[in-house]
Amino acid sequence: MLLSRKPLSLLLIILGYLACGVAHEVSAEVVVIVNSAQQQEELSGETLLRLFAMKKKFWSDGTPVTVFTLPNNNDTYKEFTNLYLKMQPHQLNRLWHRLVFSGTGVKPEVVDSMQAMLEKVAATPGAVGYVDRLQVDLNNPSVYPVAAHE
Amino acid sequence: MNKRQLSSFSLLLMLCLLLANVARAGAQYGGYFSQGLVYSPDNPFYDNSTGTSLDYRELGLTGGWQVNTDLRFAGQFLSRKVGDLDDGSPQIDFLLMDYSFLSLDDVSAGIRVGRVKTPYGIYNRTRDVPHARPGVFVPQSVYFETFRDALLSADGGNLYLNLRCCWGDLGIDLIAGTAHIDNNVVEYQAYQQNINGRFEEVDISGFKIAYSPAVLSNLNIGFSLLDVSTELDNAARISTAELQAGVSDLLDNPQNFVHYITATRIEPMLKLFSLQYNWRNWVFTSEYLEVAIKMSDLEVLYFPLEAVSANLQGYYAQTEWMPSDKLSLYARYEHLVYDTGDRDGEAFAVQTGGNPVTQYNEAVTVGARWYFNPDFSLTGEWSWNQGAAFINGPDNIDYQALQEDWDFLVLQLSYHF
Repeated sequence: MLLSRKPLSLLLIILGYLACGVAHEVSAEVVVIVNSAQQQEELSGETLLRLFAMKKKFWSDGTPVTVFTLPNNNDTYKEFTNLYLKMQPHQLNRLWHRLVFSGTGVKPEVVDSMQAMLEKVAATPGAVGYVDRLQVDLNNPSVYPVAAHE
Repeated sequence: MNKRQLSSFSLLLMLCLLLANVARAGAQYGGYFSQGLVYSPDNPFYDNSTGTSLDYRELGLTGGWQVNTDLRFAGQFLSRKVGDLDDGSPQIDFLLMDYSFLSLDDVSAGIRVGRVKTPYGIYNRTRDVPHARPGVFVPQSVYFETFRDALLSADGGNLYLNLRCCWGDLGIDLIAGTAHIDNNVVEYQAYQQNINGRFEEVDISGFKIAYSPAVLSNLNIGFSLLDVSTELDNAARISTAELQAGVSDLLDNPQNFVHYITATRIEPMLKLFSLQYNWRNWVFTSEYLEVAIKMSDLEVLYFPLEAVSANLQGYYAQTEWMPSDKLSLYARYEHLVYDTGDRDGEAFAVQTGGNPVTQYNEAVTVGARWYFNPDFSLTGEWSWNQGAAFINGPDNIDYQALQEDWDFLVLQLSYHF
């Protein structure tokens, strides 16, 4: 009897795991946002990587890029790096450390919360950041959710 | 005002500027701390005893001030306690002014002046920052822990150019400057004993080219060239009586020539080829180094001798896998030979009386890093070694007693902010 139940329990565990996975997937909807002055931009995965690796310093109209990020223990930050940049958060941190601790560059400005991210991007020409659209109201005329390719 | 005083003065000036502006808009600060535990049962590692040591810690504090889109100041204090090689006294790691004179979307160029980090290979500029690489140490086969003072940074300038076009990304760095060595590792590296005089100042010039093809932007190909030169300062002044005694000593014991060196210049030319490929959560890295070392202007008891040359070869291959946001696993194979014409060190032993096993090193290292918090990590690595070239440098170990086969374990706790 116990033996016959074993596959069933195993199946339930797997289903439970998958359900958690699915639930995890839909619990966040991370979008890349830019200051509305840059709304003509469509961002490829490569451009997004260059922006967050601090390599792309100017937009095509000459506006300087300002990158904002959430603290590195924030779940949305992890979602963003995995989904859009295809890397682990500590991989991206490593790129920033290489710039800062060698004196060759700067890291993005860290904002405390999603709301602060929205306000900073709205207020800064040339700004780029990311938010979970399920957690903030994106109806801000100064912020543009950009079509970024994952 | 001599060259050293002038560079100290300009560094101080820049430091004042930086400190005066840390609270202003556009300022950034950061830092890191690490504490290591080294277990080396076979050979002494950075000090003169085998066994367990906690004498490996680093503290770095960084500040930067972006004045406007073109002008930036940045600096870093560093304190390192590394066995008997470094005593932990604070040093200026870098302190520079970065002026970007060309800033377009696809082309940028600028100059950094002050104490600038030497562009060399993939890891040199952040060789002391634990979170900037896998592993506790940068690969010794091409980055030479004992020569870090000479390779790390230089008082001078660094011109840079970054280009992006249809065929990919190209980055070029030029450097020229003077580095300072605070210990006598060069003497111990070359002769395994203290000689009269010191190698203190190192003139460095060179460039680094990095290229990522457009069709494979995750691939980075690099080439670094460094032309290095250092000469023996304050060499022995030998009286006529000492000269006569020296000559008769040399007739009986030619190996003692190192005690009678009255002048020499060491000129290594480093050529480093670098490859790094990122594929999802994997990073594959390999670098290959060739150094043409020339010892010129050599005088023993004021008698000029012919220049001596040797070719050093070092390389490593490394794989890192980051299966989750908390874990990184890595493995590395590396090999270093000081003189490709003397791979087993036997000729070195005959000429200098030194231990032949110090002339080569082959190593396999495996390790894991656990990011138990995004800012903290714990790294553990085990290294199997054959040959003791990675130990060269400290002035208080018994080189003759160094073993060919040796292992070591390192644990390192690191924190950054």
